[in-house]
Amino acid sequence: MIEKKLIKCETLGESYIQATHSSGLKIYIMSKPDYSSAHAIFGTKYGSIDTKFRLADTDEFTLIPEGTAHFLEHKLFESEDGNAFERYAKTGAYANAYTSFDRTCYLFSCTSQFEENFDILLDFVRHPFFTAETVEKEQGIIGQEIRMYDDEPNWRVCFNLLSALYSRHPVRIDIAGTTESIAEITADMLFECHRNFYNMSNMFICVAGNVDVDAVLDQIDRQIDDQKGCEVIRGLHDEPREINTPYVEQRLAVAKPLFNLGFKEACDVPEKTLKERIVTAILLEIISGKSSSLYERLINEGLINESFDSEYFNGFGYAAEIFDGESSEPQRVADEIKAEIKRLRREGIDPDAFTCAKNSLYGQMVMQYNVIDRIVSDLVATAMSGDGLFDEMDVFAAITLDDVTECLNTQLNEEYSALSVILPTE
Amino acid sequence: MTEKIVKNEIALGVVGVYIPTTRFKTARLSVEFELPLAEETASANALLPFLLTGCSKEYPTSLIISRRLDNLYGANLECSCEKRGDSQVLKMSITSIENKYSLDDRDIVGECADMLISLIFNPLVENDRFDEKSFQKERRLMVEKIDGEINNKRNYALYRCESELLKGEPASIARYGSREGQLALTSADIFTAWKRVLSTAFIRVGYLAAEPDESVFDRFKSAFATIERQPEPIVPPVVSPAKAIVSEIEDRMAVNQGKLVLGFRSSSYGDDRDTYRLMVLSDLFGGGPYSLLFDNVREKMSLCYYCASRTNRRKGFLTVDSGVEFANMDKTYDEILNQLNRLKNGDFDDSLLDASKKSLCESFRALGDSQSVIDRYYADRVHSDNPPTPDEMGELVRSVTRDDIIHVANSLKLDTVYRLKATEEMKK
Repeated sequence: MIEKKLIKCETLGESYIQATHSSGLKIYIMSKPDYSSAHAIFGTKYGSIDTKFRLADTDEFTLIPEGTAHFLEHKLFESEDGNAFERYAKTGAYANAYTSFDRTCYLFSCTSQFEENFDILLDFVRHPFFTAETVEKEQGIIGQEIRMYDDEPNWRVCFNLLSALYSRHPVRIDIAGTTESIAEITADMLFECHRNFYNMSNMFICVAGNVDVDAVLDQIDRQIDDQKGCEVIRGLHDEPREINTPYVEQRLAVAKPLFNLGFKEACDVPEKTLKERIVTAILLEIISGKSSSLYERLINEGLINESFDSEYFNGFGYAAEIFDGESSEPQRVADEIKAEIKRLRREGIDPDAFTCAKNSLYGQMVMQYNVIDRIVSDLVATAMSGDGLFDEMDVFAAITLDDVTECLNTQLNEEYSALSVILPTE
Repeated sequence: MTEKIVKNEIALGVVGVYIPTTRFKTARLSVEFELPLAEETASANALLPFLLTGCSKEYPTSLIISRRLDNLYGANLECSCEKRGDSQVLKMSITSIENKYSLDDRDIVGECADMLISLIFNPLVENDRFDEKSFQKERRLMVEKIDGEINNKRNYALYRCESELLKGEPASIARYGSREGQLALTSADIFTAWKRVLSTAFIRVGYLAAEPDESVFDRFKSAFATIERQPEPIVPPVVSPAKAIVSEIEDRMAVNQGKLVLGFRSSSYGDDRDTYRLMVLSDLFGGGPYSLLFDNVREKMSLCYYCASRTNRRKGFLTVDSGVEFANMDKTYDEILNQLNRLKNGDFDDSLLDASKKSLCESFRALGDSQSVIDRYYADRVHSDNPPTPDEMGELVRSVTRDDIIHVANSLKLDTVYRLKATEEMKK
């Protein structure tokens, strides 16, 4: 049984179907018949931060090793009679999976045989098969993946920052875990995590592209039984408001120092609202976007290069504005950013800069409906947050300069900032 | 992609190409300048597109450019410098929302075309020199881009192997020229390069939108009317055999993981068919997760996270790269050659060949779903009078047989081996 509704956006000329299966599975489908390909994601709200959880029908929290969600993602492709890649090889679909902080997603894209591919996806994600032997084999492969990221300066500078900002929240740990933590993972543990996190109430399906919506819904209804799973409750980690340490550095084989400057925000409620996220994105664009006077000054003075960027990094129990780039003087760039924030607080935001940032972000929002995999990612974000896909257009239109000024005056507090630097090896 | 692509001549050696793309909310205008790769000109050429998109008479600073783009609803101005066979290709493009999404009924697409033309034809020059401040800034950024290539170890390792493999050929010159070449440039050199590029490069102007718009190409026709065109012919890329003795090179850095890259040359690489044969061979050797290298080096032997094969279709070579423990480098090397031997001996299932062909056909069919990808697809084939459509490419791939794979595998000869290892200090 599936309940569905059609959601439209007149401005964009786009629409999608949002549906709920009686098992609790959430479904989002945007049909784009003039495209050749279709992309599908079957995902669970289970990522690297979920090292502590409980089921709604129990009181006790369970702890699991760091990197388990990612490990499970790797192993789920295997079944008793071969692996999912072998099955996809028969249709030619591109298949992959990824684990982030708060989700694990299995995906494929194809231009033909959608039904066969979707059958494979619905099947292997729900049917785990692990043995002690296959778990051990994967420890070698993931061990090399971790090693690869150990040499990736952009990755390291970011995780070093997160461990400077956060003392307890698992967002501070690499998504793949550590060589030590993954050594603790057993087949039984993976089965248990699968039972808990891969129940339909905790999962979603997002599809976009050249598909027949009703056929996709029918296929889901045929394959998934109605039994409702138990809700998973994420554990909070008593993260203090304070940062862990204001400065962290590491040496790697790089040409020029890399930096991440982060401002840790309070998370009194675990998740930021859509409006808070958009207002902060506009503010960051005003402070340090390519059209800001700060960006122009820093680049003209030779203090940054085109890698300079900013983002509002946020999820369950964590939120931080992060400025990142390369500079021979990271500390000076950090000081300049902080000084610019103070200046804007003192002098106020230029209304023209606000209009510019808004115009630019509006265009980018329209453009993202060009690309099928981008649409699917946005549908996944929708499934995760519970907001509607087009809500951002409405929320965005209503944002005023006062909203952004208030954000400037309440967020980006220096007291809660930390700087992470990667220095070249001597 | 059933609609017709329309080509027209804008000026001598300047071709305008309209590609209808009805599925997108954007229009894209791209300009490519193709020139022979040469030591003397590579650095100046490489800097040019960055300088042209960073300042002009009408938009004297990058801040003014950036604010103008915001005003054009976040239009995306991009530039790059790439290698294509033995050529250097300078690219500039602007992508904007189509006019119907504008909130104030403006001709956004036309304004974007005017902006791109203004940047290319009316740069910030005086007394035969580019503006000194802008030149110094863009050159610094370029030198940092060159220096920063070491940061991504996987790409750096591939680049090192390819440069060695191509030694002595124009294609061995790095896409941005060299650090020294950049530092030796003056603002007057870039002015000379600008003149030379506008006059001698082979130029393609691509326009991708839902509806054709003659006025876009007319604007370029007027702009080129002021230029005295003397286009230099573009010579087809040279394809060389493997070296008699395998080159083995090695770097040491403070790294946690070793990188191994093997470069192979095909001894019988010539006609178009070889392109598709090598493409299919590479895919079943180390393309998708069904490939021999993925299945054996990664899955069965747990030696790595990635072990992948790729080809350069213009230069007819193939590379295999992997990130491995230092202690496992030799074992990985042996296994890569062992898997290649299986292809040479025909020791692979037909199902593997089918999987590769299906996967490649799928990717060709999906090309039209990205405006920039479809632009690149046709730009890469600009010298063909009648390039195959992505669907026709699929047909060509399907025609590759088991014997073709065995034949191409036997034509591959190891040319270069690159190893990135840890410094003595890191090993401790």
